[in-house]
Amino acid sequence: MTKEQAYYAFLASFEWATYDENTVPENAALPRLTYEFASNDFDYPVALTFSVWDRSTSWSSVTNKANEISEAIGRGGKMIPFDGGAIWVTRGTPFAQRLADEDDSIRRIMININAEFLTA
Amino acid sequence: MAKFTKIPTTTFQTLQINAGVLLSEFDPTSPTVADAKILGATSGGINFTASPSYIDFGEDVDNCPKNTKQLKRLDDWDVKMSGTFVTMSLDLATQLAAAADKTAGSNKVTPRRDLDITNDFKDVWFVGDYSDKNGATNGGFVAIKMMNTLSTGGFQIQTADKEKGKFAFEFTAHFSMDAQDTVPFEIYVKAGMAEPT
Repeated sequence: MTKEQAYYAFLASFEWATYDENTVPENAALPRLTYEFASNDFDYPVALTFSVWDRSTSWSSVTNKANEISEAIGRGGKMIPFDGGAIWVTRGTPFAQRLADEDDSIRRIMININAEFLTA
Repeated sequence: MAKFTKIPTTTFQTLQINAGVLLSEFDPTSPTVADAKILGATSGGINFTASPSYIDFGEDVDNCPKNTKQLKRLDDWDVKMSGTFVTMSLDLATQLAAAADKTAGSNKVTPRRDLDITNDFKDVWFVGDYSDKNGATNGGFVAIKMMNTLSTGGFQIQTADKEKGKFAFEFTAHFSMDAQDTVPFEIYVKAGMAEPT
């Protein structure tokens, strides 16, 4: 598995439809998770973001999903293995922040992480 | 790619990560972290040094080069752990004050002029995450046991407006006359394994 595939698999494990934020289908359903991807060398962490979205008048579903993801990463971070290495994902600062959407029935939380690509 | 710009392909499996934790007890054969055994929360990581000191018997010998290995002798080890706590308890305050007693049933620590050889020297463990497998059950660790540890930094507190108080510490491990050849630290390195399914 490549590092791109491993990162996607990690985000998809939270069981919401998961899309690269640059290629979200027009008819993509909610709830969903959209993410950006960038990589770098060993010893140079990358700040990444991804967002959880839902159609609701309440913040609870996206908040619960953000909390689930926070728990999965944990205080010490999470190692995501791929062929020849691992991505060490740690919580960013701030970890989760609510964002407004022009459609008031959409709720979105953006999550900040740091990712270090541990590979030779 | 530049020929000698390389790192081992197993680098990701042999990294120590995160600040680690200081414990009063730890069993490397059955590695768990008991909450009651954590000395306190720290800030800025933990520093451990075990510095050997050597004697060069060839230093004053005519025609003998300095640092001739056959004439080098290991004289001593200086073993220290230092850092900063951001939490405090009566037990930790007593340990940091070194020669001190906690009055049972009260909130008071009373320092002494003399050391109590039996009670003031305690083992302290540093344990930190290690390897690419850090699960709650089979996570790898680097552990360092410091024996007969005494707080040689004393009790310190530094406060600041709108910030957490900081308690800088330094622990020093000691030899014992009962085991004079036992160097007072041990290092354990154990790779993690996959979590049970």
